[in-house]
Amino acid sequence: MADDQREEEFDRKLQQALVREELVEDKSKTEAADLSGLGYGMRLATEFLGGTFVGLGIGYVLDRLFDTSPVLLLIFTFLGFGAGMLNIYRFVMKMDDSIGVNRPAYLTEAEQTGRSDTGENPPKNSP
Amino acid sequence: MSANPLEQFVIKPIIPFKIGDMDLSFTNSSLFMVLTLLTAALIMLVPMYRASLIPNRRQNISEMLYELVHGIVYDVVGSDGVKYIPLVFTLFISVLLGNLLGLLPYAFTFTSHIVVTGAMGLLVILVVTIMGFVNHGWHFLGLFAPSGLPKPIYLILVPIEIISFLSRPITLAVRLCANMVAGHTVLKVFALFSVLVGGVLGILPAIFNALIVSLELLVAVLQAYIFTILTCIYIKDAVEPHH
Repeated sequence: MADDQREEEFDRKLQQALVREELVEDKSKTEAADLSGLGYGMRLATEFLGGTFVGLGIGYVLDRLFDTSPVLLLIFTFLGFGAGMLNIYRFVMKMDDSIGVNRPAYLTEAEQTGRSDTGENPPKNSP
Repeated sequence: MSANPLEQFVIKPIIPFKIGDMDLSFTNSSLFMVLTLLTAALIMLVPMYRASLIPNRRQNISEMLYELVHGIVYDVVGSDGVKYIPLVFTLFISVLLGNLLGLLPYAFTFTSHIVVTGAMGLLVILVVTIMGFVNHGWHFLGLFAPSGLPKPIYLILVPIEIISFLSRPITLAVRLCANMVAGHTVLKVFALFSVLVGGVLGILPAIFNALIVSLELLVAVLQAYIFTILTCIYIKDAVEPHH
């Protein structure tokens, strides 16, 4: 474990040094500029509406199949709301999404949740 | 030209063609898909016909495009994702060129139709589902049931996760299509302002329109990029479905 920590420490310092020497872009700064407010809002809206409408659609089709209208429509619409909120949560927490060049999803996930000891060994960046 | 800002999205047959009840006409949409294909071939194949170890300028363009997609796939999916590069690259180049060609005057933007973007989204989700089952068998379904939760929670969580999974192609399609429709409508509306105001003052909306065109260029590239990166994130689920 001590080695892991030292390695992380080294990676962090190396990254800071690279940013300081302007050898790589500071990703934390460029990220905000990449996605305008309008785009951000639109993504949130589509993420939410997508979930809701899929739930609505599934409920409608199942109701037609089993002739139980409107019970399943109601249940699945609410589940769809849940899925929409889950989509938004994942997007905001950057758990299934990463915007910005060379900003891999697994990194943001680890950064966000602070879990560095999952035992997973992410592949190195450069091909 | 019509005064209706949505007129530009109407599909018009160029060569009418019907089999039975099916309308298989060659439309303005088809024309721009063919143009996209030809442009992609021009950018990618022609410089590579005589590829040299030290690339010239045109070869550099195609190599940079390829390396961009390669970099995204490698970063997001990992080294196992290399075999998906042809699919991801095809999607990226068709969305990018479709968006950019659509910005030309008199052009038709086929990415503004949800049928087209929806088909792309469905293709992605089908590939993810099929490859998920091929790679992991029934363990792929573990994607919908995160481990370590109290049992009753699964009753609600599993349907929600499934709906969330199914909503992916829809959000993918709606996002691209809505961005294109919104941008092109705004362009047309401001062009109309120019005509309505007329005279010397009419130049003001035109200047504003010129600025919006540059914004639309950004949106065209950014949307193609987002489409690509989201495709990669979904493919990642098929390669390693453990959350």
